[in-house]
Amino acid sequence: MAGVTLLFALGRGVTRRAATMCGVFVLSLPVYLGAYVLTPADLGILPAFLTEPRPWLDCGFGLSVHAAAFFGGWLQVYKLAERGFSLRILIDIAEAPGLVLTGERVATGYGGGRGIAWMREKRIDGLVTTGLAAWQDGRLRITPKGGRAARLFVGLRAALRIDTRQ
Amino acid sequence: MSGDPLTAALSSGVAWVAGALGAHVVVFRMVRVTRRARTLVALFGAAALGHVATMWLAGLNAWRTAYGLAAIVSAFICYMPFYYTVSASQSVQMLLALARAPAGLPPDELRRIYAVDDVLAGRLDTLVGAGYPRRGDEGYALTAKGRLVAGSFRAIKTLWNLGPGG
Repeated sequence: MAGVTLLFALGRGVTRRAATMCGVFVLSLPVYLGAYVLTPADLGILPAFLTEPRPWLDCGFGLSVHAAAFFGGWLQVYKLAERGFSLRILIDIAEAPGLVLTGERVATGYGGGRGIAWMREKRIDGLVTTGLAAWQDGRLRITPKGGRAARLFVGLRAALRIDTRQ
Repeated sequence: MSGDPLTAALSSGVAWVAGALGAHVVVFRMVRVTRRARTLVALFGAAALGHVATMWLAGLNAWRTAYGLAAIVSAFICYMPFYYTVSASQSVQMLLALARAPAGLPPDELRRIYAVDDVLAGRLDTLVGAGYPRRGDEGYALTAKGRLVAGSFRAIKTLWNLGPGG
């Protein structure tokens, strides 16, 4: 995360930030494996009962925790900070004069003053750029890739009985 | 650390995660859950307690128990963002609207179906219900919990040079 923070803090031109973060994670894997191979199991300080004699289990467990911390932790923090709808509303209220906003001002001031309609356009652009939907003859149509994703989400939402407004 | 007890601890952790996921499906299908996040936290908390009880009954020590707990925590931090993508992502809901219209949707129809004012009103209700802002005579103002979340993410957005987002 220090590497990601340094990249983002110094490089204002970083555009594909999620992909950049994943790249940093991939680069961290050989570093992790190298550190694992080059250091003793007890790190020179741990008692014997805290060491694991089977390297595949020891190393694999560490890798899985590392991956979970990245994909479930830092990458989600980034996604929330960059795309979070609820979070943006809270930040807009926090940045308002007097720290209070009417519902109407929340809508017009959403996204640092871009307005709530911008949120919809951003989502549409996202669906198009990821290949899930495409503009054809002035209509937004779902692509085969989007259809597969939609079927998956429909199944998951049905299994978890998600049908209410969130 | 001897091999078999560690395998048992990790197996217990994985089994209790599977139990939490199964309980999620069963509970959410059988009961109209209103406090979804709290319910999910409770299910994974119960899984952690179940794992600790399993380890205690098996006579395994605290260090091995911690390995299984790490597996449960890792699963939890990965599952929560996955669940919220399925249930609350605006992009997913837009994709599902497109899937219901195989001929595609023109921009006007998209705006009508995806009425951002309704989406915003629903999200504000959810946020008020979760205790982040409160609704007063002058509009929405952040609670202490809301100020903490908004302030933390404003700091992250500044540190990572992120734009307004949302």
